[in-house]
Amino acid sequence: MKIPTEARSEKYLRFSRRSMTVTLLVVLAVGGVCIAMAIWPAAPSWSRAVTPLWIVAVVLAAGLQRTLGGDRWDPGSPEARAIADDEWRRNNMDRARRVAFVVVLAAQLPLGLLLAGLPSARALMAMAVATITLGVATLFALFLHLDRDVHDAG
Amino acid sequence: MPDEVLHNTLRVQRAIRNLTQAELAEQAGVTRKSVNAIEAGRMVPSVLLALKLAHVLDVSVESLFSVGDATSK
Repeated sequence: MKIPTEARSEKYLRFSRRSMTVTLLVVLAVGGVCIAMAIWPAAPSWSRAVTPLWIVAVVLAAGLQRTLGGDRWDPGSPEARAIADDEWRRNNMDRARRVAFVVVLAAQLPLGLLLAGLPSARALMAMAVATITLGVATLFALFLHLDRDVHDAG
Repeated sequence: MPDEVLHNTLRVQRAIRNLTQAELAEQAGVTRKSVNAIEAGRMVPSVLLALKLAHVLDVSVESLFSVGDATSK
């Protein structure tokens, strides 16, 4: 059965937003665990959390695929290409990228001060993970915020 | 220089042709969100997209978009 383009386009849009939300949550969870592992390496509970986290991520990815309701994400389809080339989404991603860059830069000094008490190797690892987590989380969260549906008659 | 904004008649032209945002978006090769953002004045489209929208609606770009100051509508 051929799915109407409009319905498929909306379905793909929702799938795209959901995927980004799940990715954001996974990044926050994995980043949080990695930062905790760098700061408190002696606590075994953090390393035990890594495996379940990956299982949760895989389950979430499978669940996401199911939200397409039997349809498949076809990157070559006109709807998927419209989403990838969409100007509004690209503008929002550019804005989110600029803000994320500034946030990452601005966070360096406070992070450095916060982690100054740690041995250098651990502090370096915690800084790196915190920077990546902060940057990616800001990028995704801001994009999702800018890209949200603002109800407008029409 | 005064604050300049891009006014558009996209919603009117769309209504004349009885098109939904999604239908117009599909024909222009973008998502409904782009059409919605342009109509609401939250986004200034690229020249390419402006030309595509004008082509789909079969009007000139000038009749679809005009530059005015922020206070005029």
